[in-house]
Amino acid sequence: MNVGDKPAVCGQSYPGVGSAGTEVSFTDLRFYVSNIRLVNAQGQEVPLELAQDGVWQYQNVALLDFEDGSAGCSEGGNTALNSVVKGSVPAGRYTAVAFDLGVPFALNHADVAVAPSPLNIQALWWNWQGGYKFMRVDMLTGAPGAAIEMSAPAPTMDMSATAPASQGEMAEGGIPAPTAWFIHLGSTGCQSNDRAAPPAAPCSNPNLVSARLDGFDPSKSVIVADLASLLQPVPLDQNTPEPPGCMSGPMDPDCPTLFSSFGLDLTTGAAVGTQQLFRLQNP
Amino acid sequence: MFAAQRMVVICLVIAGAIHLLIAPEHYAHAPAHGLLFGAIGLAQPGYVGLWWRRRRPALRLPGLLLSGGVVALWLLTHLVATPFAAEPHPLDWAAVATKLAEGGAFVALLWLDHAGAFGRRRGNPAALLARSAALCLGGGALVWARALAAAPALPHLAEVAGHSHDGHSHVHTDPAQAGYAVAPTPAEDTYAWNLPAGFPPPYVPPDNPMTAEKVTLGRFLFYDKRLSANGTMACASCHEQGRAFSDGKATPHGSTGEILPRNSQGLANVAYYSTLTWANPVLTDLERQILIPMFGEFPVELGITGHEAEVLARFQGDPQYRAMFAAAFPGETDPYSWGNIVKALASFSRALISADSPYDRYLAGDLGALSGAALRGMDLFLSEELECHHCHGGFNFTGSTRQRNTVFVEAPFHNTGLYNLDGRGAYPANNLGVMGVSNRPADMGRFRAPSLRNVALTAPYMHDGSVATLEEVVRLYEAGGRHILAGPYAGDGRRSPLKSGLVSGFTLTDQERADLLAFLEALTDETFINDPRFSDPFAAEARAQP
Repeated sequence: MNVGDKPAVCGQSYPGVGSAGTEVSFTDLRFYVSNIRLVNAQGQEVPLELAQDGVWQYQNVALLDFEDGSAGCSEGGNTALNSVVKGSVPAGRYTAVAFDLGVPFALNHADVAVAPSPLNIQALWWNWQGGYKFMRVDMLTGAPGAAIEMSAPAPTMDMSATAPASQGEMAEGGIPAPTAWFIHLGSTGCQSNDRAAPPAAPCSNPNLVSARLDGFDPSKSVIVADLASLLQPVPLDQNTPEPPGCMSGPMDPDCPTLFSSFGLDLTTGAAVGTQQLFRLQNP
Repeated sequence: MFAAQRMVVICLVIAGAIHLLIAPEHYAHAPAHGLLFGAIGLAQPGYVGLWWRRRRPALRLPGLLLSGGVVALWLLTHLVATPFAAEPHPLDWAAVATKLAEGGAFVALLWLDHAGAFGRRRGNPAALLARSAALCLGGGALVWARALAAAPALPHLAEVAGHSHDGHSHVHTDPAQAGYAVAPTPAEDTYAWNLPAGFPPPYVPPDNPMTAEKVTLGRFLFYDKRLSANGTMACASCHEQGRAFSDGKATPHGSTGEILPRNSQGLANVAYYSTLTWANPVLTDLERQILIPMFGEFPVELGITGHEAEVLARFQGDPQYRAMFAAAFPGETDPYSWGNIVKALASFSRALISADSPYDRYLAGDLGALSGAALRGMDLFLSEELECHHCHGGFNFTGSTRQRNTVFVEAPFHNTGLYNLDGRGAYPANNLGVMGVSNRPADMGRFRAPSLRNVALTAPYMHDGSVATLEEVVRLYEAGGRHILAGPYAGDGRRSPLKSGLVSGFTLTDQERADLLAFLEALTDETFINDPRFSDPFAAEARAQP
C-alpha cells in the first residue's frame, strides 16, 4: 500500500494528498480482498484457491494489513502486518488479475465473536447488520495542533465548575472541527430486523469494489494500492461531522468523490466505473 | 573382525559428530533437545575410544544402546510422543545420516558379537538379532518414558514458546519469529462455562486451567477480609455483586485508608478483556493484575506486603480452607501459596460471566425483552453517527476484547477529551493514562474503553469517577469532550489535540437521548447480580447458622 511512490505506514506524514493538497498521516491501514481470479490467455477467469492458513485467509477472503500498531496506529491496531495473498491456480499463462475489495455477502454478516480469523477482528466489523469494514483507512489531516486553530471559538458560559466533579459542557455549537478523516468502506442498506441481526437478503448497496488489472505477470507483477491515486479527487480539507470522513453513508457529503474513485455508485452501491486504487507495478 | 570393528568406530564417530554439530542450535530453542543431542554426541565417540583399546564383555551393552537404543528412542519420539518439544526433530539430512550411521554400527556390533568378540561366540544369528533389538527397544523406551514423565516438571527445558521446528535452515515462518505477537494456543478447557450463543469461550492461560474447585476457593478468598493485612477489607469491599462488582464511589480507599487514584471497575466478563486495569497495555493476565490490589504499596489496597506469612497462616490454619485448597490443587503437598491464591482468585474472576441481560434475551429470540425505546436506542448506539460501537463494540461492548480463538490481540486505548489542562491535551498528573506506563507523550489521557454491560450499575463513571451519571456521560460525548470552565482542571477537552478522532460529537433530541439510555439500561443483567454462585459465601453461612 502506497501514497504515490512512498509506502503507506503508521508514523509518517504525507503532504499534498487529495484535491486540496492536504497533509495526512494514518491511524489505520487495513482492507479485505476476495474473489481473486487470474485471467488466462483465452480470457477465462480462473479462481485463485487461497491457502487456508487460519490467520490471514479464510475461504476466498484475505486480509491485508499495513498498520503495525505503532505511532498514530497505537490507539487500536496490532503489530502484525501482511502484504501478501497466498494461493494457487492451475499452471498456465495468465495475463490479468481480477478481485474484489471487500467481503462477499455470504461471509459478510457473520458474528465477529465466533468467526474464524481474519474475520474475527472487532476493529474491522460494524455489527451483524452492516458486516465488515471492507477497508479501514483512518487518517488525520492537517498539521498536529491545527485542531485548536480550526475549531470554532469556545462559547463563553458563566458556569462555575470545580474539577474533578463532572462538568461536561452541554452547549450548542461547541463541536470542534474534526481533524480525523476516516474511510470505512462497507455494505449499506442491509435490511434486517435491527442492527443486531444479520440481513436475510443481500444489502441494497453492496459497495464491493471490483478491480481488474491487465498485463499481470504472476511471477513478477506487484499490485500496488495507491491511496494518493484513490484520494486524488477527494477534498480532504472538507469534512462534515457525523461521521468524520466517509463511512459509506449514501447521504454523507464526504463520500461522492471517494466513491467515484472506488468505481462505485454511491446511491446504488454497484461497481460501475474503474477503480483508481489498485495498479500494477511491473519491474 | 577388524572390518566390522572399523565400521562401528566410523559409524559412531559420524553419528556423534552430527549430534554435536546440531546440539547448540537446538539448545537455543529447546534446551532439553540440545542437551540430549550433546550427551549422545559425546557418548558415541567416547564409547568408541574406550572400546578401541580393550574389547570387554561389559562394553557390549553400551554399544548396542548407543546405536540401536538411540534409533529406538528416535522412533518413539517420532511415532508416539516428544518430550520437551511441540514437535519432533524433523526428518532431514542430519536425521537420516545419524540413523543410517547408528544402524550400521548396530549391525556391525551384532556381527562382532556373533563372531565372539565379546566373550563366547553366539549361535543362532536370528535369535541374537531379536534379543539385541529387544534390548535396544527396552533401553530406548526406558529413557523415553523417563523423559516424558520428567517433562512437565522441567518447563524451562521445554521448547521456547513460539518456536516452530523447521529443520536446520531455521527459516522462521512462525509469527513470533516474524516479529509480531499472536495469541498462543490455549489449554484444553473442561470447565462448564454455560455460555450462550454469541459468547465465545474466554481465553484462559495454560498454566491456570479453570476448575470448579478453584472457582469455589476463589469465591471464598474474594469475600474474605482476612486477605487484607489488617483484616478490614476483602476484594469484595470495592467490588460489590449488586453493583456488578464495582463500588459506587468515585475513587475507593484501601485497607489503610489511602485514597486510590482510579475508579474501581465492574468485573462482569473480566475474562474477556485484552488488557486489565484502566490503562496498562502490558497487563494482560488476571494472575498478574490481582497482585496489584494484594501487594501494592503505592497505594496500599489489601496491604499484604510485609505481612505475607501472617496472612497465609490464617488460611492454612482454617479447616474449611484446608479442604478447599486440597480440592483446588490436588496432589500438591503444600498448596497454601500466594501463587495458588492468585490462581483461585483469577479463576473466580473469570467465572463472573454476565450474559443474561434483556439485550441478550432479545438476541436469543425473545423479541419482547427490549422496549421500543431500548430498540431505538440500540439502533442509535450501533449507528455511524454516534460511533459508540467503535470503542464499545462486540458482544462485550468493548474493543478491548480477547477470546480463546483470537489470533490478533488488539488492546485499544482512547483519549476521550475528558481533560485538556494546557491546550495540548494534558491530563491531571496523577492520572496520565497509558503515558504513565509508556512515557510516550502521544499516550497522554488514553484509557481502556470499559465494557458497557451492567453500565447502569457502575456509576460514577470514567477512570477517575469524575462523571456522576450515565446521562452526563452521554452528554459529554454529544459535546465531543468535556469543557471544564474553572478550577485546577479547567480546560476544553473538546479541543484536545490528543482526543480520539471518533469522539467528534453528535446531536441528540431529548427523546433520542432517553432511548439511548434505555438501551444502556437494558444491558443490566439481574441474573448476574443475584447469582448465588457469585455471592458472599460468608453471608450465606451466617444466614444458614444464625
